[in-house]
Amino acid sequence: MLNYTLRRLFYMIVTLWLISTVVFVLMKNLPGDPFGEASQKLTAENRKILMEQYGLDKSLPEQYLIYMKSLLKGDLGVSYQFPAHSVTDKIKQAFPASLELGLWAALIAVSVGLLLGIIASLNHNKTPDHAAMVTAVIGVSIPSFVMGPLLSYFVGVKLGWLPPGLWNGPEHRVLPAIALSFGTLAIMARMMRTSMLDVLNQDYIKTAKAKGLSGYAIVVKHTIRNAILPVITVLGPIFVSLITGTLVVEKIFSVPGLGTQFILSITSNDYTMISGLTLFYSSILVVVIFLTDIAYGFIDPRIRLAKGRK
Amino acid sequence: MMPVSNDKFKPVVQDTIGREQIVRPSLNYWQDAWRRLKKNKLAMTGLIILVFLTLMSIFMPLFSSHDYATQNYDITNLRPSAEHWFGTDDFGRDLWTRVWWGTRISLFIGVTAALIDLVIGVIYGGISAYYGGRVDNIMQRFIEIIYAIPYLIIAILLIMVLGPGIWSILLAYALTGWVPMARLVRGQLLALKEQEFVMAARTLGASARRIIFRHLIPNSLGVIIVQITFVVPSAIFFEAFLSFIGLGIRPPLASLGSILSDGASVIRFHPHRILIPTAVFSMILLSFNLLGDGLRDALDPKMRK
Repeated sequence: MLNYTLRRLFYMIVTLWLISTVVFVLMKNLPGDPFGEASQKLTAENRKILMEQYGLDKSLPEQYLIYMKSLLKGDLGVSYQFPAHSVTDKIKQAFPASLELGLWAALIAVSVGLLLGIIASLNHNKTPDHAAMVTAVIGVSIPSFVMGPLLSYFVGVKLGWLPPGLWNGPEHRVLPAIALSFGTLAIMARMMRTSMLDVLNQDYIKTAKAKGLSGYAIVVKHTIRNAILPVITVLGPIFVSLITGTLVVEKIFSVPGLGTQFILSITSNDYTMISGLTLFYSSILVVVIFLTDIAYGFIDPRIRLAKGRK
Repeated sequence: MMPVSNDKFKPVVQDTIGREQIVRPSLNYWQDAWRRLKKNKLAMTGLIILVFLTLMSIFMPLFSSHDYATQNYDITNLRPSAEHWFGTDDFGRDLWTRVWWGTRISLFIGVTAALIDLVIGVIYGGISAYYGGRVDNIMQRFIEIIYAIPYLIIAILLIMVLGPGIWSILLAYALTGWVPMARLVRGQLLALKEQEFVMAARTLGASARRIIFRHLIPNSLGVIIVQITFVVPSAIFFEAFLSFIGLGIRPPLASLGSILSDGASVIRFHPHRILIPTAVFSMILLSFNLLGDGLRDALDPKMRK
């Protein structure tokens, strides 16, 4: 297990290094002037001072080393558009709202998704199964950036049950979290159903039935416990889709989170902000994928043995 | 006891050839798959919707009396009417034409991305599986490293460098989207390589080339096709996502993603501007997903009963 963890850790570090290098290369190739529109008016001397201040007068390899060093210290630079703020400050300020939204959505997606999958599998090829699977396919087909406006309009504006936007009280959490969770909920439900059906066909379930165990004990103790294992593998991708989903869902519901900030910096060409947030998002995702892989290795020894043997 | 005369008996002519005769025509893999697909109502619904939408997106912009770019400030944000079937947007452009143009562009991006995916994935996976050993090891380690890269986030930066447009979106997708396909092809070929029919072919003296192109590739085609039906909607989603955050197709041209993005901002006042493109967009994704599920059941030999 230690061997497996170390190997995965090594890959994670290489991945992170690769991402930060790609981001560095892309940043150096961005079109336009790093100091924005107003830089046309700068005198040559002012420009030189600015270049020195941001270290842009050094050679590329030198800049790369400085960039890597500051990354290791957790310093993502200063926003070009709002020089008073460092990117790290902005992240500290905006990330909690995004995290909260993501966690609520994950909670809804996992609990409702698993439940739907279980209900569907226990009623295989009957009406509840079909209903759950139709819901799941529709969930996959309507992305969160469409679900968001629709929920906001129908539930928020037409029915007036819940606020259509903003982020103040608990009632503001409901609609964005539902909009964000819909797609992942569908994936969870489908995964769980397939996995449950797989387990229900196993011999040990027949044995359990033959022993005369109650239906409840079979489902809860034997089926769900075993069926939930493969579902853990999709948790990584699910977090990916939740986190990228927050980008658009936050914009739709005017949530003051990191996604809103990201889109704002894209529209205002705030390059340091974009690269900083890209690195931040990527690192979260890479770490989450690493953790789910490790968790899966812990829970299911077959995985680490199969992978470790190579 | 009465003697039974011999002429009451007649020898039964044993029709050995007739007994062995196969009455029904034999079905090859594809006919068999098609037969199973036809029985799947959901998948056929998906196929029909898909054909319908494709035809609409090809022909409707041709026959429409409006084009996608002409602006007319006297008729902004009209509700659907006899003149403008889907209404107009805030520049007075005809939404009927724009939606079908958008469908055309979204489908084009989806299908092209899938083809790029297919080429890179099959080559990479094929080389990895065929050569095996050290080559395979290095190629797989490389995949393991880039697999964890969140492509949607990196694509945002990439498109800022390349400038928005169809080709940057396709390039961004191609650079990152091929990994699952390569893994799938490799896994499939590795499993097939060990099977008896390949050994038989080798024993009979078939060349490596013949084995790859006549045996390995055709046998993994089913799984590849299923994967493609899932790549297309994910590429369409990719484009719509980028358009939604303002990095997609440049106006006046529109994709479904950019129409949705425009519509979302005015949903409170002009709901038709998002409801109609939503319906079309969801129908595309829905039909691909239904068809993909059906194809997987029909083509995947493991699912055969």
